[in-house]
Amino acid sequence: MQENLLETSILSLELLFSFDAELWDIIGVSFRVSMIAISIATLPAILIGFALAMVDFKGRWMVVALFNALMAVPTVVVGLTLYLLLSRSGPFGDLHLLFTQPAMIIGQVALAFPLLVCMSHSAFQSIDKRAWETARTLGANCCYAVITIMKEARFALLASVLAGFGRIISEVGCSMMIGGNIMSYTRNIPTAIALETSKGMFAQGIALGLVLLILALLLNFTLASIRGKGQLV
Amino acid sequence: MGVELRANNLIKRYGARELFNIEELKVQEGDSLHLSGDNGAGKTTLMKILAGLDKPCSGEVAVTPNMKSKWSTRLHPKVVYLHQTPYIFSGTVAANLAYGLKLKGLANKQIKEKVSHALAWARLEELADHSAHSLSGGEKQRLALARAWVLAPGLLFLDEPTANLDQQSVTSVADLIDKMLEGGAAVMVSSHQKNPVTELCYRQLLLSEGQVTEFGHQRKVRHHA
Amino acid sequence: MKKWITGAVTVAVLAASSAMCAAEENIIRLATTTSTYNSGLLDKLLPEFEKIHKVKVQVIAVGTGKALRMGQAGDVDVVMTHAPKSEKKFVASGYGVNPRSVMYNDFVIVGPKADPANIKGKESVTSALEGISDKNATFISRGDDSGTHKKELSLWAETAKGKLFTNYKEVGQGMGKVLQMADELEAYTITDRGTWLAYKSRMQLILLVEGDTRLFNPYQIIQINPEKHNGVNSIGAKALSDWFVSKVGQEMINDFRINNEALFYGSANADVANN
Ligand SMILES: Nc1ncnc2c1ncn2[C@@H]1O[C@H](COP(=O)(O)OP(=O)(O)OP(=O)(O)O)[C@@H](O)[C@H]1O
Ligand SMILES: [Mg+2]
Repeated sequence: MQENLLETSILSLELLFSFDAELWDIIGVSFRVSMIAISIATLPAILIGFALAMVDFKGRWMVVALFNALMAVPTVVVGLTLYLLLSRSGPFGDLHLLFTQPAMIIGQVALAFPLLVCMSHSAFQSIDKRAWETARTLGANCCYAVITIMKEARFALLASVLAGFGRIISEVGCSMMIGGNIMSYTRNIPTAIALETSKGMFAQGIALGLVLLILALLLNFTLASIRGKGQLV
Repeated sequence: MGVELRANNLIKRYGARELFNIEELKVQEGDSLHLSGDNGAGKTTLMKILAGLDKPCSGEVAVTPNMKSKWSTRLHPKVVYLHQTPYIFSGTVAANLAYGLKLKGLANKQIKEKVSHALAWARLEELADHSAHSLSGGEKQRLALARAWVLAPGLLFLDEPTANLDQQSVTSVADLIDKMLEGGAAVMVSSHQKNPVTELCYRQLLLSEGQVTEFGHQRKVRHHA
Repeated sequence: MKKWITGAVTVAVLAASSAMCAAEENIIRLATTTSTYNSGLLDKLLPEFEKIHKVKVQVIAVGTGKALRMGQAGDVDVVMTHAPKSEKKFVASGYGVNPRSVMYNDFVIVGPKADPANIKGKESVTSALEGISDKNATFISRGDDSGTHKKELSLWAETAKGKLFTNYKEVGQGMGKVLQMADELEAYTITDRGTWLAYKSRMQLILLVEGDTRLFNPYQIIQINPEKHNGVNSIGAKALSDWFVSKVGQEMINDFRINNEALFYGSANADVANN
């Protein structure tokens, strides 16, 4: 039994550094799911962000506004929508995806996607139209010109990927709803924290919280140093 | 084997405003043109359209020989446009010079050779491995010129190439254009005031009130520094 | 980062406000289990008690483990839980006083209509569970340290091979959510009858096993030892405890119905807790 904050914290550190199997299992699920999700979402989202920034088409502002709005949708609403879609009585029920890791990945892709689109859109917006024209006139075809622009915007793009990753790895509502928090399968850091807290077992909650905190610090330091580099050039 | 450009009935509008309406414009091998006109007359817009970077509202631009392969989205490889204020890619000075050469699929050795040649011409050898963004305005202009020149274009559009340059650089740009003309390339330079570069040009075009008028037609003048 | 700051502020505000509440004499804080709370029993009983005694009862619905821990920390005045072993320890270590059995309800095993483990109608709960593990049928466990979870674990402990089969899934969620998951995954689970009655109309699951005495679930009410903590409302706690075991309280418990089915049986006189 834990008596106070200090003891709980010490216990949590012990859990972390004794490589408690259950704890690291949860961390593993978290990273695996979120890494796969972010790597699925990144490329298409960035291409859409690029198209929104560079291609002039009718109703472009509406698409931009739509993605901005989607970004503000609470994670539980995304979770609920997917739940209804994937449920046995829903349209995709036959796939038996509910309460599986693929379902969690789908949910996290859905959460990261609008954020990635919006952030990469503004990343590309900050790149001059002349960059595109210069690449083209120096002989780049459209595809290579896109790659050139991505290179020019790489710091901002990396920042958006990190932000997207930060959002999904710390997200609890959607994962809980469509993952189901099944031990050593769909239990990730945030759902485990929610569970441990509701059980009153704070040590594991704090240990997992620490992992998230360290991760948040790492992501933010990386971001800050990238931004710093961005200013140098 | 020079390049010939023909434009017919070019019209460009922004909203209700018609910027220009040009019946015919022809640029031939060895031509050197000076395009003058007031601010906002549409010089930049016209040159971008001629270079294929912008679309006219109607009319067409044809470049012969047409070197476009069927599925490629590349612009004409012999036509290069240089911005009024050039865009410099992030990366080193040398990487900027190599950009177009790599796209041509040249061997590494050839690229290296051409890059060092271009560095020498632009007097940027010492800065070869520096970040190109740290160059001064004039150095950037020279870098951009060298980046276009190194591709050996058949038709080069220079939008205000000398605005930022010191005397020595203006002279070397003039030299460059001279050499290119000798090699059979055509050059179009936009500028509102006369300078050694525009003096090289034997065709004088004026863009004003939506029309291009050709008023001077000198004989080819060789400029000697 | 923002989340952490917000979290810290929330905790501080909660702590401050609960300290203020503690100062008020006419508030009784009752920690109980989510399943009790969700049944709606307290919503029916407590207003009656509040009217007679002119007090306000704040119900904090958490898992049994947490409820007892809150009692241990002096965060509440009285707890009502259903985990006899933990309760015994709780009282033995002096955190709680005057444990009284209030009522009991029972657990049932529910599962898919197809019943792949063929346990329908079994009288012995252990043989039903053994059937499930032998067939490696999917079984959803609460896994949240709740009274129901503890009950389930003690039942598995009585089986020959225990719960070591691959389709045993611990999900760490509330009873309602567990039923939903079992419904989606066509799995078996153990549930208290109250939650089952509340959910069954929306489910394709059916009730398979009931009636084994080992499935009974005794509730105790325990007052928090005022000697351990300052500011515990021991008078209020005693009044609430007394009222639950009084004739009126017991009758109201027996009369409580969901969908015309009785859920709880008063046990103030028969000591079911020591089963
Ligand atoms: N995308 C656009 N939308 C609306 N108007 C535009 C757009 N691009 C250019 N214009 C307008 O077209 C006119 C011509 O622009 P352009 O850049 O071609 O002028 P310019 O002759 O190069 O002038 P300067 O000597 O200042 O370089 C300007 O009045 C400008 O406002
Ligand atoms: Mg201009």
